[in-house]
Amino acid sequence: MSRLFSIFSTLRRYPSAFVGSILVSCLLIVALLAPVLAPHDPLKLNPRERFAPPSIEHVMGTDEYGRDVFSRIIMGTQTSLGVGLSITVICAVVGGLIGLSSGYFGGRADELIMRIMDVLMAFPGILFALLILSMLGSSILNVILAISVTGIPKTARVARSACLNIRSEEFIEAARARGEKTWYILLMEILPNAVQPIIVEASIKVGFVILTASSLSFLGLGIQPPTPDWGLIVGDAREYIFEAPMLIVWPILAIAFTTISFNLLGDGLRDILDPKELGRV
Amino acid sequence: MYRNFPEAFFTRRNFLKGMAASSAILAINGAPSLLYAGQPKRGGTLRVSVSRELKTLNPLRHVNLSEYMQGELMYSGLVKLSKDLQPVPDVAVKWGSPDAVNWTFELRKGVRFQNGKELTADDVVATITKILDPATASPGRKNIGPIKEVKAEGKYIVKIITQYPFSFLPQSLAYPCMKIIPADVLAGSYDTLATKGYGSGPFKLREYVPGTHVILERNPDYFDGDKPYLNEVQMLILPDSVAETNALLTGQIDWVVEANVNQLSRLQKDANIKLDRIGTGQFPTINFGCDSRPFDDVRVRKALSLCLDRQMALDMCLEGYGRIANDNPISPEYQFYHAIPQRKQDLETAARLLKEAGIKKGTTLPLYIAATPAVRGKLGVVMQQCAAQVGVNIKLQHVDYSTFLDQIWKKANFYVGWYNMQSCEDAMFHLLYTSDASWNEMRWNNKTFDAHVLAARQELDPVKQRAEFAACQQMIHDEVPNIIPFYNDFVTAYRSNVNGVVRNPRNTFFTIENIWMN
Repeated sequence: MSRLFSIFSTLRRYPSAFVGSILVSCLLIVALLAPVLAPHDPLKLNPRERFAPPSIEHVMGTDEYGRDVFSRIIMGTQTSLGVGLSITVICAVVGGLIGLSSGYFGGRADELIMRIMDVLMAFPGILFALLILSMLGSSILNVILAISVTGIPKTARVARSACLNIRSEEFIEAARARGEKTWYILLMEILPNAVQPIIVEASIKVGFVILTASSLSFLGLGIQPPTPDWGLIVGDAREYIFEAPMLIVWPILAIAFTTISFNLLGDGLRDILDPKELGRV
Repeated sequence: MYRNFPEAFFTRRNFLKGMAASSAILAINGAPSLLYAGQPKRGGTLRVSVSRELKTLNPLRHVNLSEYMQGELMYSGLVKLSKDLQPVPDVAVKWGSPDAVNWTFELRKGVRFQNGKELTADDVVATITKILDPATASPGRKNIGPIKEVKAEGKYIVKIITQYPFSFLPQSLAYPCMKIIPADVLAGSYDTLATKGYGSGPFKLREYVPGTHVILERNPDYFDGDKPYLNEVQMLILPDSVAETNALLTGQIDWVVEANVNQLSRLQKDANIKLDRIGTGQFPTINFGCDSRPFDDVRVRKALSLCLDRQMALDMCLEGYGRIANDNPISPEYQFYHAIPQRKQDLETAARLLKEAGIKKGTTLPLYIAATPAVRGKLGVVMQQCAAQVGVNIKLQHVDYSTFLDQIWKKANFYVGWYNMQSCEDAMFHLLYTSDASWNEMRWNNKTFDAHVLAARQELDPVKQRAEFAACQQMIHDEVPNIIPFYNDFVTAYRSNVNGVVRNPRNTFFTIENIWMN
């Protein structure tokens, strides 16, 4: 309890982290409870209620198939957060491990790994993801794979530079002198001391990843209809931009809200985890 | 919801019976008389927008609407199709055959190519030979008719011999790839056709920027009287329909060939814009691979057809701009249309048929959908929801158009197709349904059906021919090699100073030489 309170009191001193964590918590709650919160079946076609304006029955109106937009936006939280968070975790774990080991081993291995990462980074992210998706076909798993591949190099770079800072510290040498195994040094000695930048990088990445996933769906190569997904809703509504302009506004608001929430949280975490600030936590 | 402009006139083929009707008569019959209140005027520039990119300027390789339009502007064919799908003269002025095997086409005299050379029977023979050569890979090869031999008799007579009696040869020769190209170009510099123009059409190529525009100028030597009236035609490629609509509203373009039905309400509000609507035999399909599980079972195909709510599909896909179809690829526009009692949504029968066929509830079937045109995706969503009602779980798989052509088209066993109206029943069956069809996407391979088509195409008695074609349509309806939910209407939008716009239901003729500007 006291621990919760101390987290809370820390957050209060960092407004962006405070606001960000509240917004993100709200999003997570909505995502978890989406099937309960959604008032209608998000997939049910309703030929008699197409393009209905907002009403008490349909808070955000209905779309070109007569489906309830509010329910679709609520259910879209699941897809967007699910995709966003899983990609971020994959990037942090895989990219973190690659970066740490590359930094720790140094020498030729480091050169080789980092040049491969540079090559991957040289591709514009969304184009590279498009390439992967058109080769493998469109599905949620492939979207996760495609965006992860484009995201891993950046995390690896961050992890590597964090690792380089502490590689030659005395406690590492001590561990080596004790004859500890490499994996032990990497995971138990280096990782805890290099984890902060990785976490900050990851939290900022979430917003970016959700935006990329939405762009891919918008282009028709990400999540497949009729799954409610914000990017997909924008893409479908584009054709009706003059007939029913609000159809395109709702999902855009949702995407913007989510991206901003995660960015606020990321910014806040960066401030909190800044070594100069750490003493005060 | 958007029905407050005049319904299209579904007037039918009775207009043009005479084979030798001149194209001037075509122009008068083919357009609302209102448009011809004034005398055609010379001059002006027509800016027309099309949505698809041109891959080549070579008419022998043309496959889409933009290319057909450019081909028609720059080249002439032997025969054109009127808007009632009757063959009318282009370069050939007369044709006929005593037995439907030995055909004679008489050419117009004094037609000149843009290089000044006269168009003669030798050029026609060289062009047909080139189209029939498999190395050319022309889509026209299987579509211009079962031609066994083609030869020139003098300068202005072309003799064509078919493999068997084939009464649809004139219609087949109106295939858009059949554009006459000078014999010396075909022999010497064939590859330059992709970027240059040599035809005898109403317009000459001035500028071609791939992916952006084609600009053409008037051909003063065009053979048809005063035509063309326009000084210049600009074909602009605008893939985004919202941008296209805006360009028309602001006067940046004069004619949107394929207006998006979702944006008609904006166009209707503008007094300077005219809309025309015609019924056509163009349709989307849901294609089954009839040679593989579970679609080799006719009960499965029929069940999926029975669970579709066609009115809902029409409303959601086309805003009602179309007509309900009956799983029959032959629409009422065709000469030998056979009316069959309408198949309606019947979930009980559908569920029973699926059960008999051993399809369990919750069976997952991936349905492949190409990104363009958007109607494909919408039909997929409606199909998915309808099938869910009988316990079939359709998983929609969207792919971009080029991936679709590469990997799905003709290969997958469950996908959404999209087909233009053809020149005649025979052309439609030989494109999609017979065992030796050009595409044979459904791999239905039904010998009885093949026999009916062969009998129909060889039959010279129209009554017997009608009976054979009716049998073909009944078989397709009963066996459902593909679901045909509705026929599309064409809606075309142009500024009111453009006169003489006629949309042809076959969607390959645009007759821009008849258009003039106020």
